[in-house]
Amino acid sequence: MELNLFLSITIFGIGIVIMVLKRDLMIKLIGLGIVETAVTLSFVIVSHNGPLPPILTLPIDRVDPLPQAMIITSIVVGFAVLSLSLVFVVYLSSVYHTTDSYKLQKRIKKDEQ
Amino acid sequence: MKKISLFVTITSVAIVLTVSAFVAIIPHNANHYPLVTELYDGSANIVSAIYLDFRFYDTLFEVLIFSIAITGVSMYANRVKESGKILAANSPLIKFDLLFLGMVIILWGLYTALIGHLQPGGAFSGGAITASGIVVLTMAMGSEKIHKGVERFKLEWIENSILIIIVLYVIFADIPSGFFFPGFSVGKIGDFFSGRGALLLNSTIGFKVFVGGWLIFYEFSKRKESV
Repeated sequence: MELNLFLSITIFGIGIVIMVLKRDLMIKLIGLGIVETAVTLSFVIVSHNGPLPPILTLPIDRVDPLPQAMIITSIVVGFAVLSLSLVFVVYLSSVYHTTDSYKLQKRIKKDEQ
Repeated sequence: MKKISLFVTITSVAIVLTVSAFVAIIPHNANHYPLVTELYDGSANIVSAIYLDFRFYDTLFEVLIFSIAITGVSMYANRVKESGKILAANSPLIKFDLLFLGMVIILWGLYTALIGHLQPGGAFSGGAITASGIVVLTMAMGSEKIHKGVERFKLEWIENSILIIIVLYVIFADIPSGFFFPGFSVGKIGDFFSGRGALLLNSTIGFKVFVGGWLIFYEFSKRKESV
């Protein structure tokens, strides 16, 4: 049984639960970060093949290089998405003076009427 | 409601446990990439060979997403009014320590980006380390002094014009029948000048990530207290 993979799926679930249940937008973003970390962790577990980094001059006990190259893309895109959504939160909180999603919805509706 | 959530949690844990009991990851020796890297690319770092050579289109669009995100950050941050700044450290001892630490972190990041094709590291991690050095320097000298550089060097223009270099590289160098023939500057494995365009790409993409990280930090540090 792959216990490590199970643990990474558990962390993924924790992130999803935080994103669904919590009302504060900042805490939702922290949940998104946890989900991304869990995905990275699962890729690291899948590619684990030996203790050494993927360098050609080292012996053959090295990790699989392809998932590592994929995960670089994932990390950079995650950073970009996180910073962009953080700017949206800052903008919303500067206009409506709250980061609570329920209150935001109410105040936006009030503004529209 | 509590009963339902408890039930959902227990069932999902049971499902995942039963599924993971049947999953077995078979260790395999990193397929064909080491061989192809040795023949056609010449970088010692196989990951660098994959993302700067064999799968370069992935990296191109990743860089595009990054620069679109930076453009979006500076566009939407301009709608929030500026408030607050980060003050310089008061004690001269702490100031000296932070300056020293920031310089060391920046040099370390540059080294990591430049030697990315020979050892673990590379453009993205090196650029991120260098940008975090700017954060430490800001704690030492205050945000106003450091961020004058953003306006003076017109960093947003530089950040976008680096894209042109990368696109030109894709057009002329990455296609096998293009300007650089296949096997151009492969070099000996472990040499500084090896790995086709690895040196050029590591330095340009590293510089781009550094500038992007600095710009994001610049926009957020100007708007410390928005409420």
